[in-house]
Amino acid sequence: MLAVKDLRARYGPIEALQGTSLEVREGELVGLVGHNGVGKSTTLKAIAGVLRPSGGTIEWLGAPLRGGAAATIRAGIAYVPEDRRIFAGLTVEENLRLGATTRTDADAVAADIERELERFPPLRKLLTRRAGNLSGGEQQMLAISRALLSRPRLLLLDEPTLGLAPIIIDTLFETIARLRDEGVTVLLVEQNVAKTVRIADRLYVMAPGGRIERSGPAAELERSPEFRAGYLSLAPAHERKAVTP
Amino acid sequence: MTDVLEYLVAALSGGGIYALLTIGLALLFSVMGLMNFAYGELIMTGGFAMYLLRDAPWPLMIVGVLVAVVAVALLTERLAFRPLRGASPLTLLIAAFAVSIMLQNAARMTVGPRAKGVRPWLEETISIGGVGVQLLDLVTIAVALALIGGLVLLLRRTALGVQLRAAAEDFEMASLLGVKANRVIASAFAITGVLGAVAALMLILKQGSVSVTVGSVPLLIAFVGAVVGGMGSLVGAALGGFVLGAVTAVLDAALPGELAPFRDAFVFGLVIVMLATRPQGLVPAPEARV
Repeated sequence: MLAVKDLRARYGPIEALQGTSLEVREGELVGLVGHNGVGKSTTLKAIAGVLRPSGGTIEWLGAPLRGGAAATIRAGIAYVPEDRRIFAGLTVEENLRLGATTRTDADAVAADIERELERFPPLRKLLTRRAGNLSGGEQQMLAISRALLSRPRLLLLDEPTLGLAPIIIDTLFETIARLRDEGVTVLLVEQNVAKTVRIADRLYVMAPGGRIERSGPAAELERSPEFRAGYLSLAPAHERKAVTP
Repeated sequence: MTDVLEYLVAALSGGGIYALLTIGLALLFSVMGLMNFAYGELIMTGGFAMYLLRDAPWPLMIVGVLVAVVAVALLTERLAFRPLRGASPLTLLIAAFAVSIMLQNAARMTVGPRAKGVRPWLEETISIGGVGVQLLDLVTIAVALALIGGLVLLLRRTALGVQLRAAAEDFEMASLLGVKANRVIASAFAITGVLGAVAALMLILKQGSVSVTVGSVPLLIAFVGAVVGGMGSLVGAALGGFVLGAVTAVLDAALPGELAPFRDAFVFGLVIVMLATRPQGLVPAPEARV
């Protein structure tokens, strides 16, 4: 469904991605994990069209994905950025409706908004409130709902639990797992590896420069002592050894 | 009492015109980071349209002014600013100055460099509570209120309005949700064109003549009004423009003869005090809580 091949991206003189390759198949929940600053968010930005790659290809449904952010959403890919970027001066309802900008089926949009309010009940009583007044957790719920209102085939989630309270983090991970069960394909970038490995079908572990250090079914990786030592800190001390160079 | 009513009418009329202008400036600045210093030339375009259509019936002249100003606003967007989309604010600023100079010179070459008189209208004075008030001032207040009200409805109640507000807050995120950049930006230019056309009609009817530089001072006051109100907030811009326009109009009416030439010194002195105490403007742009 999505195939990223030898992707390269720069921030000025710094080449943040030096050849990233990954693949997402229809219906999967794929986790992209790794330490801070290795290029996970940069990868999502390049796929979403926010950042122009300096090399490599991004293929979507077998064809190159080009045309920047506007083309991405019309191709069926929705992106929830790390800082959520809800429209603070707009109401919650206006934010939600903006999520359905590409759609023309008004009745179905209304039904989908209702479904999102069932998915995230706290949003229901906040519909007329300015989104900037919401808590971090409520803003994240809004950002995910807004993205889902475009009825995406692929949802890109960038660190959705960053800075949130533990109870909200648990709820969000459950929700993301349910999205996959509903048929939404998800590419999830997360720092919380322990929780990601439990809900993801497959995992890519990214090393500095965006190099994919290892990948495979999440359950398999979870059993790997090296992976546990490097990313889960659960392995016994005698099993631990450095994973990244 | 008489003085108070006179000042009130002057304040509402002057404030209304400048509120329209600052909303136009702030809308473009919010949506595409453009401080449109060619905005004064929209007023000039409106003024010259009034001059060229001076013998036409009023309704036709008003429509002509609206069409001319909106057309020039859209043309500047299409020919000058669209190719520079995404350029740095400095590049856009220089482009705006270039457009301004180009439009002024185009007017000099076609209509002429000298000031031209326009047909007077709404000059009658009516008595309210024993105070003579010019009909033009009352019409200006009514039109400004109606236009601001209409704009509020457009921004709050229509899909285009919500998209404009979203784009004004975070253009890239709006694009990521499928908001069409060309449509939103062209709409913003069209709206500024309508606001500029109406402001031109009112300002030039008040002045009685139009020249190539007729928009320069209003642009400066509107720009400062937008800064005072808060550049990233349309409500703030409207408020800033209104306050500055109202203060200017009241000072015009209230300053004794020997101090009248120093009106702008008083106005901008107040602006300095205001910015020193509240540099973020009267109404700061909304920010998301993290």
